[in-house]
Amino acid sequence: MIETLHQVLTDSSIRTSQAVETKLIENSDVATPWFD
Amino acid sequence: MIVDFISMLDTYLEKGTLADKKREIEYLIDTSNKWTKVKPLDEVIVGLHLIYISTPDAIDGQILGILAKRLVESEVKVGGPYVSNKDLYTNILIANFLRSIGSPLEKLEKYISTRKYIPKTAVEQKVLISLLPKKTLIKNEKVGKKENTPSLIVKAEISKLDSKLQKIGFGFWNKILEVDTRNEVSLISSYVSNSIIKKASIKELWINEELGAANFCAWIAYTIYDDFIDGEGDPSKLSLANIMHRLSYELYRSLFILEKNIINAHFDSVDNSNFWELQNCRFKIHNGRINIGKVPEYNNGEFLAERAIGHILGPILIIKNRLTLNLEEDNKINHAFHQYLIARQINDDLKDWKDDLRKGHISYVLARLLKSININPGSVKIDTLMHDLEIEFWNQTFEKCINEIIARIHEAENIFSNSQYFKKNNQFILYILRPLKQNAESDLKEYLNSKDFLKYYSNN
Repeated sequence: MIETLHQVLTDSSIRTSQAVETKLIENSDVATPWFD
Repeated sequence: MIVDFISMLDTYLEKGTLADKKREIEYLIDTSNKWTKVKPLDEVIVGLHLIYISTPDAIDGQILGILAKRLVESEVKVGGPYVSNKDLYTNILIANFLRSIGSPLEKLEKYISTRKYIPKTAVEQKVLISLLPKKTLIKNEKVGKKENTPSLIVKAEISKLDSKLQKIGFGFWNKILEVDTRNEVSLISSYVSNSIIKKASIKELWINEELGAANFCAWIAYTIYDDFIDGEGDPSKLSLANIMHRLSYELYRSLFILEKNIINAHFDSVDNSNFWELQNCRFKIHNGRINIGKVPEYNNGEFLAERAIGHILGPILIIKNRLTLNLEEDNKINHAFHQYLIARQINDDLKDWKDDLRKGHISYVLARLLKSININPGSVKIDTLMHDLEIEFWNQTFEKCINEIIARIHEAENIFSNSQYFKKNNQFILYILRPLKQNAESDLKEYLNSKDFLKYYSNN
């Protein structure tokens, strides 16, 4: 989410709800992997 | 709601105790976040920064969604400055806050660093001094690797190898040690042993260390074998894998001479599962397309436990030799271990599903995703499919899988907690199950925050 906030603030193409949702989806990785 | 941020700040700076500060901030949060929409931006940032200092977790998706919207609406240029080119004070506040939460803006930083700021009032000066970055969000902090007895036993074995093999061996030894931040590989047997109410003898305590070494060796071996199974194996590492595999097996056999059948069954299960996976969970990739076949059935995740069963061989042997369990109790404990292994594997699959798709490896999570979108057999462009699956992942599968992890760990914890043979809040629960559950809960929280971020960014 912090990553998406940064992207929204620094990229004018990520300003519509649709564009923000797309970014959130792209960034929706698991943050705390166990390990392989 | 009227909140006097400056008096709040005074309290914080001069006479506020931690309890006072917390009370005020809790009040602020409890009375909704409406103030973030209506207050001047500089006051909002001061408020948020105070909240962050006291309660970092309170800076959630809702607050950041509103903040994003307000910053975008007030930007002079993309990435800063905000409000006005001349409002250095507000821009310093914004820069400090964003830096503190781990999202510094390059342009804004440049803007404030190339200007000299002279506070206009005593309050401004006080605010800025008090909100200078004190805490920085450190993400993905690595816990330093810790050598322990099992890992040192393996190190000693690697030292006996040919010098070139030693080099490869120490590389893998280090790798396992680095990723095994919770000593899950090397100490799972000790944790389980210490969790049993019946005390271990001195001999059994030593056996725990050797079992940890056996598991450590198996992890090195299967880390290398997995690359071969994935078609990416490096033949120069194969000898090391074989040596580690043999060492692992021999350790188990020498420690539990009478348990040949159990030991063999566990090793067989891993190899049979790897074979099944190769037969059923691989879709062909060609020219950026994936050839969708029959989506594998994971049998309620049980396959995941069978593939990783070697990891709990040490604990199973300890329990079998220290306790006399009736069939029902034995089944329950096995079931609890399986829940743990399945949860652990789903967690890994959640992280890897995009890479797995590009390789055509249909993991448990990927199989669920493909079924969720009712995929039809045939050739599909990977990028197109990735897009569809990302949406499905975001809308449903992620939350379902995370909740599944939490539920499985919860079940495992309950079984161990309620067993007459295990201590309450034992080491296996505290050091292995709970951290895994906390990881999942943290991921779920981040996900729900992201959903809120979008909602409040859009509806603000």
